Amino acid sequence: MNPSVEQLYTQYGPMVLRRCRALLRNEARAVDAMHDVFVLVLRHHQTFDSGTGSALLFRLATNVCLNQLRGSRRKPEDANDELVLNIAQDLDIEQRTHARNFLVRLFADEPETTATIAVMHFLDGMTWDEVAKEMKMSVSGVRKRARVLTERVKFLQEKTP
Amino acid sequence: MIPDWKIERYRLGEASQADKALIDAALLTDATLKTRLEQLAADDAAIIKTLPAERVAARVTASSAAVGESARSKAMFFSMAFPMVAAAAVAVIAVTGAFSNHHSGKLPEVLLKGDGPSLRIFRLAGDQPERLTDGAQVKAHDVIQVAFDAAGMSNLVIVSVDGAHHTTLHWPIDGNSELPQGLKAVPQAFELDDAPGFERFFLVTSATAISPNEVLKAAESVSRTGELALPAALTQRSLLLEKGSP
Repeated sequence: MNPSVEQLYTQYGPMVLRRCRALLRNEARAVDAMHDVFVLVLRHHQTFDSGTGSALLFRLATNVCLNQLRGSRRKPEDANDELVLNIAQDLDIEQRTHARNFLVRLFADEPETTATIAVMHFLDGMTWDEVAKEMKMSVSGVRKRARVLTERVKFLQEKTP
Repeated sequence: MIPDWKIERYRLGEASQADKALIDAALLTDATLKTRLEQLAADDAAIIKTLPAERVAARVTASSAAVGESARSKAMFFSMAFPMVAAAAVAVIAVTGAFSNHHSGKLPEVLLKGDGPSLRIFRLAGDQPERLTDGAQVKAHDVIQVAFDAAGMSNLVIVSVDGAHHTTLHWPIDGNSELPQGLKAVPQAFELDDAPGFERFFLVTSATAISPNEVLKAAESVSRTGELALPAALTQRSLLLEKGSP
């Protein structure tokens, strides 16, 4: 039997909120994002295998926060914040441009974006192998993106004054 | 330095064996790491005290229900906007029926033919979407759907600005302001956040391409009143929603 929302929140809520705080840098928005993460869990009847809840919620929190940051116009607070904002706003453009299939976009509540992969590697310090495990992708699939991502993030960092 | 995500998983008993061994070993000598763990434990307690589990669960459950309504409405609007996929949405329309009733003539048309582009905002609540007029009272977590009549204009941008001067681009979603044939609503409904004061929507239309960034930038400078500082060739409409307490 899956745990209740209350049980999940009690166990994982603080971790999720800290993740949202770190990415959004705004307490009210972080709290909203944390709620959104648990809404996703509830709506999609996510199953929690023993020992994997934190990885799933960490990934969902990252996706939710990056979605919020895409429309953000706030000034970055530090270098890490600047990297996250740049990734959220710029790296997803290519994916959005190609997302002409609106059905996919409309019903994809938790798209696994390139931006999420970039944040996990460049901000969180995960190895590409760890990213692959987090995203439930093949290592070769992630590595294929790695070169392009590295070049793209380098470009984003260089264009920042 | 051990990254935060590994420490979080260690605390939750979900770290890999290798990471657990690494952190266990580090704790024998690393006072800073010990302090980090103590701070996280204190933060856990503070969060649960400020945001009790029952309160969070209640909000999550309510939002989940609201998002479900929103998703059904999105599907409805999508069917109107893109006839080629209408057949796929028939089942969803049959379930809700709400927007189809409004768009089949029950909704009063405020603007007469010839008045130009118009902006229409709906609140999704209960069985029937409620059309909101300028100055309508809304609250955080209301689910809003933006619709419009482009009145023959081929390009369109929709943005909103809230009381905290945060701007949101509602259309286009890919930077191209050209309006797809037959589109009458933004494909995605959304939930209002708890920014204070108001949420003001702007519809900007033109016969030629519009820069969404230019409109967003102009929206940062307006408040409850006043027009966007945009070229006169662009037609703009606005609608203000007053934010009350949840």
